[in-house]
Amino acid sequence: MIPWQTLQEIAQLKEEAALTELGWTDEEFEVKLSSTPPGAVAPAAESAPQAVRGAKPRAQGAPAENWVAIEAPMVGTFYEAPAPDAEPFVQPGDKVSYSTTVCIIEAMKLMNEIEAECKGTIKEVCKTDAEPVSKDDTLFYVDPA
Amino acid sequence: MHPEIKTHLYLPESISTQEYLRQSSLPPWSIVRASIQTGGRGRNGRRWDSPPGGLYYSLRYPTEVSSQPPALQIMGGALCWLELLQELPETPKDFSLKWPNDLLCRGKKIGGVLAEQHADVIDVGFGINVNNFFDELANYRLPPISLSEAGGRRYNLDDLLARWLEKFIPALCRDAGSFFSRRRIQDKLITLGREVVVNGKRGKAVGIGEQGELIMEMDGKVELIFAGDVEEVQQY
Repeated sequence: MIPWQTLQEIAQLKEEAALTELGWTDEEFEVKLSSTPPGAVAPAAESAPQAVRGAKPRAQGAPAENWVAIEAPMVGTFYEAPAPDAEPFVQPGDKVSYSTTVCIIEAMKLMNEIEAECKGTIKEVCKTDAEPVSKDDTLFYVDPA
Repeated sequence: MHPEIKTHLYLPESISTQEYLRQSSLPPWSIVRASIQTGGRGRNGRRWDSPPGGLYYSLRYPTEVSSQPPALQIMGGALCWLELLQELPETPKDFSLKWPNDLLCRGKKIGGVLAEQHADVIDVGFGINVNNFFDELANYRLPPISLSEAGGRRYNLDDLLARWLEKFIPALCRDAGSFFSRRRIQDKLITLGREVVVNGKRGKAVGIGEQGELIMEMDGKVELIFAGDVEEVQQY
């Protein structure tokens, strides 16, 4: 059986050397250590969030694979709130369902309330208030999880 | 009141009739009118002065009543106003529309419209300067004028609204195809044929498209304008 003190020393060595694997065999006392070479990606733990799937942090503007885009159904001007001094319809972190109003797109003085048409959590607001938008522009990303 | 109207609310004062409708669960074919609005707004949240004497109202109607593009329906509502004003006796006839939804008299603003489309209804709100007068020192983007100033007499607001409903509702429900035609609207658009600046770009307004968008010629190219403020290069 591996002595407790030796085990502690090995554990400390693992941490200091940034080892990613540690194995041992009793009776013969065989130890197997390995570390990740610089630049390589450590394997994700089982509990790692889906948003970092692919083992890369999400670059700015690039949505996670499972996020859903809410797109502009028309050309116009994007408004995040019902009035200039009002709170935005939604902000990152807000829960939305299919009929939740997420913004207004104004075209020819007709204010069109845009509904989420999906269910989940707003992750990103892709337009700024009063910004012109084209048809099919992505307005929001929603995490359906 | 027009028989199609199910609910008619009259408010002595309201933030705005559009805001009132938005926060209400009133059914389609409801109309809300206010003597004054304390927070009336135009496009891009601009303040819309609503002093006593003006006609301020919003009509909620179901989207299913017309297959015409909503923007053309709204412009049709403005066109109804233009026709109604021109029919009034002892009133000047020089009314016109400015894209997308301003009503002008002698080149000054006599009314405006703002609309909101929700899931299955459209709320269209009008502000018409009728018996009200304006602060001459106030700084307006477009100089205002009221019907009283133009016609030299007072007008009955109830009568004007009833006459507008008699024009708009049948046109919306039964005759939309011809009444809201682009040609009919274009004929009254003072914007067309003029050098204008929209969203910082200068060009010539030459028509409106199928959805009601402004067609402009800019540097030999055609551009479609769906949202923006038209600034005239020449005075109307």
